[in-house]
Amino acid sequence: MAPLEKNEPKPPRWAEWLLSQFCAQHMLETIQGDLLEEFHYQVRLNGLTKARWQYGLEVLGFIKPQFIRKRSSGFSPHSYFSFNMLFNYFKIAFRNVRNSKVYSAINIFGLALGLATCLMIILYIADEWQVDKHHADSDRLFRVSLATQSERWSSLAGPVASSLKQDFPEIEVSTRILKFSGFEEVLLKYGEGSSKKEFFEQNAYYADSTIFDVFNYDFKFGLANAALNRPNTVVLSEKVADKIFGNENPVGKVVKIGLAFGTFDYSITGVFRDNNKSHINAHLLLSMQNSDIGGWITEQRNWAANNIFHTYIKLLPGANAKSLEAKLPEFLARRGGNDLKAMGISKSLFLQPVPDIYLKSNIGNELSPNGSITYLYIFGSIGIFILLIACINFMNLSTARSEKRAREVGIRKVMGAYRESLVFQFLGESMIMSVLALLVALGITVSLLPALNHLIGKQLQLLNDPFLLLWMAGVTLLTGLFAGLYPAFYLSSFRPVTVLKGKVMSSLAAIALRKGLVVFQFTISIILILGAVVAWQQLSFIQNQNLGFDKGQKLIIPLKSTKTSANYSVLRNELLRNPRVLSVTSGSVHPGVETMEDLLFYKENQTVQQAVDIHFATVETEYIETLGFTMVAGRPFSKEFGADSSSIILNEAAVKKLGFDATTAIGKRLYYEFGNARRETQIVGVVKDFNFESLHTAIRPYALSTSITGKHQYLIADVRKGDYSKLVSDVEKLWLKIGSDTPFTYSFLDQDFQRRYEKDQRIADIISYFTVIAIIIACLGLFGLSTFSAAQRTREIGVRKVLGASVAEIAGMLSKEFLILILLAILIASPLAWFGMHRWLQGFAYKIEIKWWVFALSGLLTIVVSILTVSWQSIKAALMDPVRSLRSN
Amino acid sequence: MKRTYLGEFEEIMLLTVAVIDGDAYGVALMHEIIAQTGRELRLNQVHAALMRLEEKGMVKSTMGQPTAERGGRRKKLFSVTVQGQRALEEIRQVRESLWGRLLNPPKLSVA
Repeated sequence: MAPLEKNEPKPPRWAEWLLSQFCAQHMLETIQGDLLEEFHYQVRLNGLTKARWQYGLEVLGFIKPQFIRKRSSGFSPHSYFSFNMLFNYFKIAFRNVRNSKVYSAINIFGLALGLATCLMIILYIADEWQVDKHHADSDRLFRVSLATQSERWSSLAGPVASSLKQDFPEIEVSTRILKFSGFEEVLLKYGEGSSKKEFFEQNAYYADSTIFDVFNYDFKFGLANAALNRPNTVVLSEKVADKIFGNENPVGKVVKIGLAFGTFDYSITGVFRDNNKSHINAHLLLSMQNSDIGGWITEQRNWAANNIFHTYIKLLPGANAKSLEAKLPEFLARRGGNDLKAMGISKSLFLQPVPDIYLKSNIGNELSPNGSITYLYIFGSIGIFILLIACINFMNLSTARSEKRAREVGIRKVMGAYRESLVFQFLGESMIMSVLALLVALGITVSLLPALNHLIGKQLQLLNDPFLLLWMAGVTLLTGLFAGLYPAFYLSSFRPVTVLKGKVMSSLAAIALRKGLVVFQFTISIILILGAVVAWQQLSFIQNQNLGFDKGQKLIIPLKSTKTSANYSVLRNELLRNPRVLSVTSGSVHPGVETMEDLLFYKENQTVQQAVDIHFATVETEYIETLGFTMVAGRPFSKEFGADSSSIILNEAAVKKLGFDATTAIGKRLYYEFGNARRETQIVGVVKDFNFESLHTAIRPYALSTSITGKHQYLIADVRKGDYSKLVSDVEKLWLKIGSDTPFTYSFLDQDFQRRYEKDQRIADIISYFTVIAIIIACLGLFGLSTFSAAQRTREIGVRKVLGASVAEIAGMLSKEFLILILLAILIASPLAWFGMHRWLQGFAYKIEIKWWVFALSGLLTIVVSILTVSWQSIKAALMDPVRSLRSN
Repeated sequence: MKRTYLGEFEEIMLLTVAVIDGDAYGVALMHEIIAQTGRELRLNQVHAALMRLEEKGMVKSTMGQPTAERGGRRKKLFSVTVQGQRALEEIRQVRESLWGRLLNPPKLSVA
């Protein structure tokens, strides 16, 4: 054989590599030889470039079954897929599970917890994701919303919808939904005498008849296309219809709808099913043409005022939303320019795709609270991380215990097992584990689902959607694959010679990786702990924040009909006779309820162009005293000053916005326009700033008046602490005695406020449950590793004890190696968690500082939990009698 | 017994192996066939045909000496088996008899 020259032409390396990968071993030499010989021939004939090109093509030409096939040998050709071998794999897998119960239990239970968490998160995300995805042509549906310099608003002035349809041929249809202020609940009445049904129902909206051309509702009774065509017609959701009529068809029946200003007859034209979720979330849809506020609605011609109509459009197929949006400024200026100029407001319109509204829109005056895609991302990643922690347990325990399996690997290899067959065997084992874990996880999920539904206020079901089952199967198999891949390759890499000599030492790289993975697990756990602690702190901060008034022991009774409003004075006098009641007042709204009314106020010698937008409530005289607002200057409303009908009390924010200060403001006159007339009012007092709605929002300019609108919407009573159920039943008796025509309902102000934070509270609850799960799984893994580590060092511990080491020293030694990992995890997790929570807190107007001791506390908590986990094994190992541990040698 | 069927390319391959007996391996066979027939040929086709012939028992192979231009790899040398010989002869006989009849058309007997 002649020595090869240095600069000899070489065929392309990729092609050589490729050939060596796929070609059957027994043909490789000949083929390689022929190819190379031909290559040299081609180099001489056509030059190097062409020869290399040719070589590549030739190699590709060899990719054919007959060259790939393995040579048949005298032995079984399919050793790792034959029935006997598969049976053997199952047997070994089963024995392994049985022989090491602790590890198997840790693996299966950990994986099951992770999978169950993941399943529930998948259910939750899928449920949130479905909202508004059911509409036909949902890609052509848009909500037209409003933007001013300072805020974004989801509803528009009345005339916009029809003008949009008139001016733009690409709009197929437009529709409006009206959520009227004060209609958080309407009273539904049906029937007479004993069969009379009467209850308050929420989410009642007025809608144009075109609503069913835009949105898909699945009608159980009645026809969608004619449902709201006639005046005073109503469409009910299935749930509401069930409450009154059961399963009976109610179309054509007439219900009475009680509003604050009277009771009106509506005839039912349809019932829609509740199966599809929408951000509109309507329980009742009333026709816009009606005898209650229909007149007011048709009078709406102004383009600047009463931005309370939610406006939706459906584009023609192929129409471009972007180009339509570009034409909107011109449209608004042409149609509504004068009105806007008169009010001195500049605003613009923009489009929101309907399928995105629920998850991505959180702007002013949403119909009902929307979901949040951010939280979906957070939950999704938490689910993945928890599953990862469980997978890591599996990896760590499998590789740590590799000694036990090393002999098996050695024997199998000696008997002729291919490495691939071992990889398949171990992967198969991890798949079996994950399938077992899935079964346990399904059990856990089924038993926890009711609690979860209670927690998040949803009706999630496990087997609702066949698509979800696919997801679960996919997640399970991926889990098995991910958890098993590293152990499979690690275990199958053992060399029979070393292994069978009995020398198995985990390689340094494997140990380092194991430690790295433990650090990773605890980093995630600590981030979750920190997140949960900060979230809890923030929420309790918010809930205990001084709101500027006293929300304790305030009984609220809504007065939802003309008759109950008219009866206010009678009820008040009766209530005041009860010794438990300290004072009674009423107002158009009460704190904790969104204030929708606002007016533009301007000072003397100014015009409406310089006006300041101030939200207001119309209240009874003792409102300020009853709710415990603090006066900064001036006086509260009082009977001594006549009716105080043209007096107004402002908060500090409003005073500042108007350019006064608290003391100079008293006695100043303010003007506003109402019912097409200029009205005058005088500032008589200034109250300390208060948070009317929630601490998500900053304090807004706010005014209290005694006369602008009706004030007997809510009765508010300050009561003494004590037996509230007795008090409530007394009040209810009074309610019936004075002949009220609506059912008695009540709430306590602090509970109403609590409800404003329900969503945050829910999220904090969910995150803390996740945290607990993550810690449990991570500690399971730690427990397993420490058990293993103690078992491995039995002899060392024996020798140390014989030489005089104390139990404490040995336990400390065993715990130390894990403690170092935990400390490292704390160091990594703290800055990450700080960053994440800092971002989260930006969403609150009132927020806490993240204190250093939070990190110390979380770190300490983790250390304590992990010491408890590890020390169980450490102490057990340290207490062991050296005679026993050393005897075996 | 049914005769083993030989394809056209296999027949040429088998003949070529017989012709360059003693040094019949992949590249040499390919070059010879290209020279003789002028057709486009790739090594994988040559190898596939040789494999088929070997499976049919027409040729047998031995490993030869390694050479430098093969990167120190051995050649796989093919030679025709008795069965292959017989198959070639049979084919030749069939062809010759057919050709013979074409050149000397049988006379029609006249009464």
